[in-house]
Amino acid sequence: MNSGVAQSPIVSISQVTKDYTLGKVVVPALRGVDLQVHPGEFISIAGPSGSGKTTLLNLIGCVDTATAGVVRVAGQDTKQLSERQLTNLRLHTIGFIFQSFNLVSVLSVFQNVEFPLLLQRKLDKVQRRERVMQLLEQVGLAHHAKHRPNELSGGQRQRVAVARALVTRPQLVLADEPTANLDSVTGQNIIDLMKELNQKEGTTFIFSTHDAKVMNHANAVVRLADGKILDRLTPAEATRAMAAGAEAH
Amino acid sequence: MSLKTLLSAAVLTTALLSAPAALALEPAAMTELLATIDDRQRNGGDYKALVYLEQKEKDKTDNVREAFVYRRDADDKLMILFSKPKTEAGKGYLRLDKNLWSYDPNVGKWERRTERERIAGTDSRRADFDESRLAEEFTPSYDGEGKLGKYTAHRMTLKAKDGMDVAYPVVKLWVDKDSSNILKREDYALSGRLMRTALYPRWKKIFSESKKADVWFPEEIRIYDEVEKANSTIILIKSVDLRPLEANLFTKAWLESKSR
Amino acid sequence: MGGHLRLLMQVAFRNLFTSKINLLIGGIIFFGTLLVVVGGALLDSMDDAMSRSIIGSVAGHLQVYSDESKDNLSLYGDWSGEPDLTVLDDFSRLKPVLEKHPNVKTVVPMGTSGAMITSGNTVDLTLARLRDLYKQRAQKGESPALREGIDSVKAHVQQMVALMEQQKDKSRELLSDAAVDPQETEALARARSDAFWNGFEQDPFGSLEFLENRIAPQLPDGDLLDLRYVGTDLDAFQKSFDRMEIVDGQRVPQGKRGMLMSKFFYENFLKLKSALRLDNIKQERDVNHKLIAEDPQLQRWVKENQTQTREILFQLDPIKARIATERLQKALGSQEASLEKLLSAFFTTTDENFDERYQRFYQDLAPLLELYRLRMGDPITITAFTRSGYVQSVNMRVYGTYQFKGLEKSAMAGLINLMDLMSFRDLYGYLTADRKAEIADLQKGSGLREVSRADAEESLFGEGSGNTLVADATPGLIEDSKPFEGGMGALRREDLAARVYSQDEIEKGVALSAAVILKDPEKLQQTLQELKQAGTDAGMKLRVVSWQTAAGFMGQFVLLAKMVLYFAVFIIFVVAIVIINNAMMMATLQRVREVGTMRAIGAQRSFVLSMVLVETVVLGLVFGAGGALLGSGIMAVLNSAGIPAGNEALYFFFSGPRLHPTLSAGNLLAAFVIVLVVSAISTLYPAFLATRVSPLQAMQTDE
Ligand SMILES: Nc1ncnc2c1ncn2[C@@H]1O[C@H](COP(=O)(O)OP(=O)(O)O)[C@@H](O)[C@H]1O
Ligand SMILES: [Mg+2]
Repeated sequence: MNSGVAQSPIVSISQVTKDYTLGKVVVPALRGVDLQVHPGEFISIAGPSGSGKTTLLNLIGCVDTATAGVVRVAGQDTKQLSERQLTNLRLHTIGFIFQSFNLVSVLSVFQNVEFPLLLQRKLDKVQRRERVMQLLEQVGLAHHAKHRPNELSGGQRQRVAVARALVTRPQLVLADEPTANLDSVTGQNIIDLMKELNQKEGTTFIFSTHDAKVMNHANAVVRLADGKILDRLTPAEATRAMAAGAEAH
Repeated sequence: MSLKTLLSAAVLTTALLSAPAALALEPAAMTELLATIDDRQRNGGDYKALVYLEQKEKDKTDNVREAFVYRRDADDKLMILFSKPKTEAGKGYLRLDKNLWSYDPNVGKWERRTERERIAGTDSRRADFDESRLAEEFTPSYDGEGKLGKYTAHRMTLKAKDGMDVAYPVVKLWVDKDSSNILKREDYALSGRLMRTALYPRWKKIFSESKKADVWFPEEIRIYDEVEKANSTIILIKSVDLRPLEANLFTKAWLESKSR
Repeated sequence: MGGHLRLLMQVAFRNLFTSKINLLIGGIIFFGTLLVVVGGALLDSMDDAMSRSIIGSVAGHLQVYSDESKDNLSLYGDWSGEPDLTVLDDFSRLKPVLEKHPNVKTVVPMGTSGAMITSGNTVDLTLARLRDLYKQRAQKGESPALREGIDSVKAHVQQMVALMEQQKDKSRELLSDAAVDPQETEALARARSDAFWNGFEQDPFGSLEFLENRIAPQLPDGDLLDLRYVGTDLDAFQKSFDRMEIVDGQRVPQGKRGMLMSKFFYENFLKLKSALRLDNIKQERDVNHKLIAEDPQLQRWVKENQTQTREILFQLDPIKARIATERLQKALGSQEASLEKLLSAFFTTTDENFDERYQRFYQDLAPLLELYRLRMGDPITITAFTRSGYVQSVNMRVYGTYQFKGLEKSAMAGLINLMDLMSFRDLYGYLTADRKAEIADLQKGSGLREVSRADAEESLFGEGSGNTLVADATPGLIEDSKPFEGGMGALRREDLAARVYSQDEIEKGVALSAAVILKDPEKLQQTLQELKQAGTDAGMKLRVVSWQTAAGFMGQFVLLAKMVLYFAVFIIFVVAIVIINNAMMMATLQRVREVGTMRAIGAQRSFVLSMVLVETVVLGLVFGAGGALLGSGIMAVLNSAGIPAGNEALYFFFSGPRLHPTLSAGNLLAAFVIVLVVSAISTLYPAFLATRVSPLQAMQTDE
C-alpha cells in the first residue's frame, strides 16, 4: 500500500459548483471547487459552519451530485454512473463515518460492523468473522462485540462506526465532523485511531472539522469558506492562519 | 168537453210534461221491479236443473263439471250435486237454514262453508244457483238508463240490507227495460272494489203447474273475475224440470246415499 | 446469500419487539389470524352441519326433475308458494336411467305440494262423532257399548250447550241485548230444554241437524291449516335419508297409505293452544332466559292462557269437568266453583310459580284433556286445490310424527310432512289421458261458443249478436240417478285405507322429482353433468340440480349466511390492510435515517425493499402463528365442549342443540395464506417509499 510512487489521485474535483434550491431561492453551497486527494493522504477539510464542508464530502461520497464540474472518485466520473453503480462504488471503495455515528440500533456491535461485508458478499462467514474481530480489536472493542449500540458510550459508538467504515478495506474513508458529538478527549482519541489506521493500512481519510486541535493531525488542511477553497495548508499554517482570522474578526 | 174530461186532460198533460223527470224509477217501483225479477224465477213447488259449469283460469286446463241443482223454494232449500266428470260425481253442497254444507264422498265428510264459498272452486257463488231474493236482501237506488248493446236497461245500485248475509254487499244491475230481465250484474266489495261481473245474455221461461205461471231462468251466465282478471266461469242451465222432488231430498243422508 | 437473508431476518426479528408500531401491526395480524382460524372453522362446521342436515333430510345430493318445468324446484317452498313443475309421468322409467350411473346409490321419488286440513269447530266435531255413532246404530243395531258411547257424547254436547249459553249471557251483559241475535238465543234455549233432549231419540238425525245448523254455527269456525307435504316412497325414503327419525307413533307400514307428520308441525299447530303456550313460555324461560316479568311476548302468552280457556272447557265432559274443578280447587286452595275462573286463576303464572304450574298442568289437567287435535293412528282429511282446478280430498291415517335431526326447530323444514306417493298422486290430481278426454267431451257437449272477455258485452248483447233475450224452454225430464250408479263412496274409502301397494304400483306413476343419493359426494358436480347426459341419451328432458339449488331458499340461505360471514371477514381485512399500511408508513418514516445510512454504506434499493418485506412477512408469520395457535386451542376446547345453540336461529345454523366445530388443515392454511397476502399487500407502498429514501438522509442530525 505504501508505494510512495506518485499515483493518480483517488479524488479529483474540478470546477465543481453545487446549488441548492429552496423554493425559488438558489443557495450556492460550492462555487468552483478544485481539489485533488491522493491515496494515503489524511486530509482535513476545515471551515466555519455553512462553508460547504458537508456538501463537498457528500459529492465525494457519491451520495449527491454536483450542479456543474467533474467529480472523479477512484478514477470514475460520478456523473456518468447509475444509481446502482454509485451504490456499488460506495460499498466497495468508500467508508463512511457519520457525525452522529448512525449505527443500526437493533443490531449488535458485531453485526453493525459485519453489515457492509454482508452487502459485499465477498467473504464467507468465517472470513467475515475474522475480519470483523480484527477491526474490533483495532478499535479496542473486541469485548463489546455482542453489545447493542445503546449500551455503549458515544466514543465507543464512533469507534464501532470507524470499524464499520474500514471493515471493507475501502480506498477512501469520509468522515463528516466525526468528533462534533464527542467531548474533546474522546474526539482526540477517534482522530488518533483514524490516523493510526491511515498509517497502518494506508487508507485515505478525508474528514471535515471546525476544531483546530483536530486539524493538527492531518497531512494537509483544506480551508473552505463560502463555498470556495481558500488554500491548502499544513496543519501548523492552518492553525496560524485561523488564529489570525479570528483576531481579524 | 166536460169538466171531468178537462180535468183528466190536465192531469194527463201534467203527467206527460213531467215525464222526463219521471224517467227515474221511484224506490217503490224499483222494489217492485226487483220483486218481479225474484218472483219470475221462483217456483211455488220444487225445481231441478241440469247445469254445466266451466271454469277458465290462466295457465290451467279448463275445468268443467255437470251438476244437478235442486231447489225447494217454499222452505229456502238448495242442493247442488255434481255428476260429472266421474271424479267429481257425488260431491255436493246442501243449504240448510243459513248453513251451506259441502260434502265429499271421497272422505265422507261434511263441512260448513260461508256465503263467499267459491262453488267447486269456480267464480260462482251459492246465490248464482239459488232462488233470486234481490228484493228481500237489498235496498235499491236508481242510476238512470243505459244502453247495453242493442238493449236499453235500467241501471241501479243495490245495497245489502242490515244483517243480510250476502256474498257481496253492493251490486249494480242492468235490467232490460222491455222484458225486465237482468242483463248484467256487477258485484262489489264493501271497499267499493269491483269483484265480479256477470252477463246474462239469455233467459228462458217454462210453464209451472204448481205456480200456474211461467218460471224464468237464465240459461247462460258468464261470470268474469275482476280480481284474477284471467279467470272466468260459465254457468249453463241445460234443462229445468219442475216435477215434485222426493220429500227427504234436502238432507245430508240423501246426498250421502247418492255415492254410497 | 445465506448471510444476506440471515441479516434481513435478524433485522426483522430484532425490530419485531422493539418497535411499538410493529407490536400494533402484530396485534392486528394476531387477532386477524385468530378470527380467520376460529371464524373459518366455525363457518365450515356450520356449513357442514347445515349441508348434512339438508342432504340427509329431503334433498339428497341431487334432485332430478323435468326440464319442461316452468319454475325451479324448491323443496322447502318459496315465497310464492309451490313451484310449478312439470310431472315426471312415469318414475319407473326414470329410475333405471339414473341407477345405471356407477356413483348413484339410491333414487327416491318425490313430490312436494301443499293442501289444507279443514275442520269444523269443537261442537261440529263432537256432533260429527255423535252422527257417526247413530249411523252405526242404524246399520248394526244398538249394543250396550254403543249406547254408552252415545250417552257420553250426548252429555258432552249438553255441557257445551250450557257453556255456550253462559257465554251468551255474558256477552249480553257486556254488549247490549240488541247485539244478540234473537234467533240464536231461541235456538240455544231450545237446545237447553229438557223437552229437546227427551225427544232426541225419536228423531236423532233431525235433532242432530238442528244442533248442526242452529247451534254449532254460533261458535266461530274451526281453523284451516295449511299443510305442506312431500309425497314419496316412504320405505325408500326412510332407508335413504339418515336424518329422519320417528318421534311418536310408528312408521307407515310398508306399501300402505299414510302420513308421517312433522313433529314441529304437530306441536305448533295441532297441540292444545294453552299447552303450547305453556311449552313456549317454558322454552323461552329455560333456553333464552327470558322472564315473564320483563318480556312482553311471555306476558301476552300468559294473558292468552288466562282468557282463552274455552278450548279446554269445551273438551271436558261433565265428569271430567268435575274432576278438573276439584283438582284446581285443591291446587289453588280455592273454593271457587266456576271452572272457567279456576282455569283463569291457574294460568295466571308468574316467574315464581311458573315451573310448579307447568308441572301441575301436565300432571293434573293434561290426563283429562286431548292435548292434540289428532291422535297417532287417527285419520285426517286433506283437501288440495289441484293444478287441474278440481278439489281433491283424501282421508289419510297419521301413523306417527317424525323429525329431521338437526332441523328439529327449523320452521321451514318443520313444515314438511311426509305422505305416501299414492295419496300424493290423488291429491295432485294429475289429469290422465282418460280424464282429459272426458273433460273434452263434456266441454263439447255444452255447445257453448267461445267469447273473448274484452268484447263479451258486444258479442252477447250487440246489434250483430243475433241474441234473443227471452225464449221458451222445452220442458224436459231430468234423469238424475244414472250418473251415480256404481258409486264407490264408503266402500272405496275403507278399501284405500287398508290396501297394501306393491313396489311396482308405487313406482309406476307420476312423481315430481327424484332425489339421488350418491356413493361419493365429492364427485357431485361430475355426476350431475353425467346424469343430465344420461337423461338426454334416454330421450328424457331432465333438469339435474345440486341439493343446494334444490333446497331453494334454504340452500340459498346457507350460501347467504356464508357470504355474509365471509364479507365480514373481508371487511375486517380491508380495515386491517389500511391500519397496517398506515402503521408501516409511520414505521418507515421513523427509520429514514437508518435506511439512509444503509443506503450510504452501500445497500441497494432492492435490499431495502426486501428488508421491509421480510420484516412484515416475519411479523405476519410470527403473530399469525401465534393467532393460529391460540385459534387452534380455542377450537379444541369448543370441539370437546360444544357450543350450545342459545336461540332458535342458532339451532338451525348449528343443526342441533350443540355445535362441535372441527378445525381442518384447510382452515389453518387459508388463515396463513390470507395473513401473508394481507400483510404483503399492506406493506407494498411503505416498502416502495423506503426504497426512495436517499442516502443523504443519513446525514440528517435530528436526534
Ligand atoms: N439540503 C440543502 N438545501 C439547501 N441549502 C443547503 C442544503 N444543505 C446545505 N445547504 C446550504 O449550503 C451551504 C453549505 O452548507 P454545508 O455544506 O452543510 O456547510 P458546512 O457543512 O460547512 O456547515 C449552507 O449555506 C447551507 O445553508
Ligand atoms: Mg456540515
